[in-house]
Amino acid sequence: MKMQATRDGFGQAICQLMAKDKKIVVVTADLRSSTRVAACAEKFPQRFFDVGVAEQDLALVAAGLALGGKTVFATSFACFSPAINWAQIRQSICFNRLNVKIVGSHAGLATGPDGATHQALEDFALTLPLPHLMVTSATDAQEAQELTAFLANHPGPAYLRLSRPPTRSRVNFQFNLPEPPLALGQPRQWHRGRKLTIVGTGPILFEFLHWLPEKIWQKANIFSIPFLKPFDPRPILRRLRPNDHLIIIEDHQRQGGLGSLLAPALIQAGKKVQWQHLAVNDRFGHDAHNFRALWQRYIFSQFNL
Amino acid sequence: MQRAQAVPKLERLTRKLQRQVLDLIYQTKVGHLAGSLSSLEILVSLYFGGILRYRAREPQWPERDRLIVSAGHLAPAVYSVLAAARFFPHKQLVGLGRLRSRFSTHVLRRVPGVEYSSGLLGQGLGVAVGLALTLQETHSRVFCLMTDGEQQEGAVWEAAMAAAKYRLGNLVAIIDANQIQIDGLVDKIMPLENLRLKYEAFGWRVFEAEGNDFRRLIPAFSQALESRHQPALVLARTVAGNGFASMENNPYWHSHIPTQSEYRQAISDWEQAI
Repeated sequence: MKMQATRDGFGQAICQLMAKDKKIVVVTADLRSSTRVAACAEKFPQRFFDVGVAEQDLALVAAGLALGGKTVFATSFACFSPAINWAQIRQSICFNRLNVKIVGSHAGLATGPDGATHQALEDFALTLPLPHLMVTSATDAQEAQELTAFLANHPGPAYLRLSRPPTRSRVNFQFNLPEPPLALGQPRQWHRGRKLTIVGTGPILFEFLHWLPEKIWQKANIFSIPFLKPFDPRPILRRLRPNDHLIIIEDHQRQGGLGSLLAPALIQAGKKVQWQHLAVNDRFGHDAHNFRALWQRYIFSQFNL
Repeated sequence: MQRAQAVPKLERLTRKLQRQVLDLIYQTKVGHLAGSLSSLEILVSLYFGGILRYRAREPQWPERDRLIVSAGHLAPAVYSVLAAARFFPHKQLVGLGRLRSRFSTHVLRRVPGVEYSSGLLGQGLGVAVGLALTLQETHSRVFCLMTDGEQQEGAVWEAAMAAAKYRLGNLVAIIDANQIQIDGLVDKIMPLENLRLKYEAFGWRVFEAEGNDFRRLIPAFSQALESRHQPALVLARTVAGNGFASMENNPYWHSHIPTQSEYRQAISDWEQAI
């Protein structure tokens, strides 16, 4: 099966949505090609804006367009937006509660050869604490399409995390549950097992399943997390029995990401589990031709069952 | 929309507003006095000098012009002028900055007549650019009120580039250049001049005027509105703390709340200034 990047899923969806909904506009900061909106720029030049290498202005112009009634997708790399322009997102988008979708591509170690500076490993930590901001993350290209359509139809500020390389998707696995629908705030359970529970977000989840011996994931409950905020942990908590193994995997720093959402939920529910949080442990990334080698070194190598 | 009023009437209104702003800040113990006073003629020109198109009874009137107040701390002046324009009764302002009041020390969008909630400096111009892009096919114009100290924020210049790129003839930025900022004189903290040449180099048309003199300021606005294919800047040279001799041109008054004796002195200044 052909692999596809989540940024490509976004790029396809946004073009289709723009054809149907004239209120949708796209702003980018000199990354139309990398964030897969070059086709929109060609097709809908009147609804496409490029502010140059100016991410603060990206967030501000997006806010102004939304103030004028548009549904705005503002695209850049996650290491620039929501990072360089965090204060603009906080005040002009979130505090003013405007209909802007911050699209951060090239998130995580998955960015690979662009190197440590470009591997955004902190974007969940930057976005999760912002009031009114929905935080979403696409696990495969199809989920990126689904999330893009979802966000276009849900007014309000949101962040969508995307990644650069083509990766495995749902179709590469024989899961034993019917395809779970995308629903606001809900984890998606793909597979049911009795031995352990694996919860992940972003392309790293399906790539981790592929890396694992098949007989291990076959015996696991497998959840993907498209919505980090709002986030309903109950479907996961319901599957957990005392001393179950719970594996959380994310292409992000340990601090401030998916693990930081789940841990307090477990404590509040009084769940005692064998906890393994597979994430980057307070370090920067590194160059690598093969991003999978980075994942192996920084994240998968922590796995221990 | 308000019809343009004659200059003597605008001056009388401004004098009344000066006293209202002083009293509001003294009574509520919140707010930024010097900038609120320096920007009053700018706001009065917009709302009573026939510049801004608005309907106080219909704040969301689609054909209105938009004013983005980038420098949110000018709230005491903005709110006082909006009250004078009958967006809401002035007496509601007594709760300024209180837990249960809708009026906060930096402008909020929940207040009728306020388009954008601000507080952090340097963000309004970019928002105004985005808003102006959505209004290009209409008759509505977008105004953006900034301060001079605010020009030290890099985001202002990112927005200035974009406004020129998109030839936003429907955008008029205003700088209340009162030469002070919180830590001292703008010229000492981080020199900005020559602002006219900087904006011109960024592709803007610049109209410089004495910003506390309606006879200079209103023509500058009229000229700025004639710029069709370029964004325009009204560079208003103002006096910090204008109207109160003991407060003028002094950074101390940027955010200081007057004591009782300072307040009495200010009132005596104001009475003598007739």
